[in-house]
Amino acid sequence: MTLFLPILLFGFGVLFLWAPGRCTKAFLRGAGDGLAACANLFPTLLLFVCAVSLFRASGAVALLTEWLSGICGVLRIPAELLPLMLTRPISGSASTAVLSDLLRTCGPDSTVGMMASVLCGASETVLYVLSVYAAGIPVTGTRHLIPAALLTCFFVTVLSVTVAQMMGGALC
Amino acid sequence: MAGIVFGVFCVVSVLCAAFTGNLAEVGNALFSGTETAVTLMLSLGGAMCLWGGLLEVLREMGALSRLERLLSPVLRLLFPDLCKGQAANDGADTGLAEITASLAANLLGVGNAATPIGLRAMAILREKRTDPAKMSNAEVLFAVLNTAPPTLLPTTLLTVRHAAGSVMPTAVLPAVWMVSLCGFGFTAVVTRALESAGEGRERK
Repeated sequence: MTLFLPILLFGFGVLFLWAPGRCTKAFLRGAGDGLAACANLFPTLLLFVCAVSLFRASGAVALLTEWLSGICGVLRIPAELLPLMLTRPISGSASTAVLSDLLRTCGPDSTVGMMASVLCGASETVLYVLSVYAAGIPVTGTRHLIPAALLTCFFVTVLSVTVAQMMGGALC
Repeated sequence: MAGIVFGVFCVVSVLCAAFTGNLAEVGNALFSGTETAVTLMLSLGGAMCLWGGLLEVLREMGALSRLERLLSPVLRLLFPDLCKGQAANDGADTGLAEITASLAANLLGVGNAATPIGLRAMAILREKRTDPAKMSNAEVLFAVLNTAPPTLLPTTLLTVRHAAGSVMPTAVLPAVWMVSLCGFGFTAVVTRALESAGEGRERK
């Protein structure tokens, strides 16, 4: 995987040499849009980073982990992962804040860090997607949408943990 | 939704702090939280601009449309109803193009680009409903596919990992590819299975 970014970068270099003017223009346009997206994201991110910071300092994370470690032990899921698993389906900004906090405390290259990373990389905020895509449709009209989405969410969570556990040792 | 999450976090935190005697630390945590938010945003912000720019280059050079062409056989398999429509009145808007474009955008990690295209696809699909009060099979499948989209370049994840001091942020990529691809397959199979189960029940 050390080669992934260099290869990507080489490809971009070739593209830029192929059409310097068009590429530069497109890059500047895209980067400018990125700036606007940042400005939109910051207030929400601030809200959740503060909330997560409060949550950890109050000892709530430690309590939650302690209480639920029994169930987690049975399912072979590290208890540290719980706050992330609970926020991931609900809010994108909240789960980014929780992920960042988890990676800082447990280490981004630890097995738990890898599990958290895979979980965030491979799943979407289910509730947000459903509320946007099924907006204006009464619940009776959604048919098998909600069961299918919940099953998918559960499957991806379990698979992320399993795959990261299997690959964790080999990768780091 | 974000409001409820924040409310829960705050109320639980203060109650917990009162219980464990950490009330002073909670006050401090609020200020250190704003600091963390700014540093996180600075590292995320630079990366968001960089990736946004590079992805725009890809789009400009036609990589997105090439990716769409690669994806279209898979989507024909998943949305047979739409293909039938395409054969009947060729050239008309079937929504298949929008669905492909939205998945291609997700694949490249441009989530903000995927949502508007996805909504356009949903609007086209909505007009084709047989029963106006119920979502069609294609609508349900497309919405569920969006809850676990296949991902090639999870840009936010890589940035957060880098900011947290990872030795190799890209080390997770193979696992992410594998899980998101399996998730995509699982979604398709489960949704189709639930779909036929539901239709069987309605027929009875």
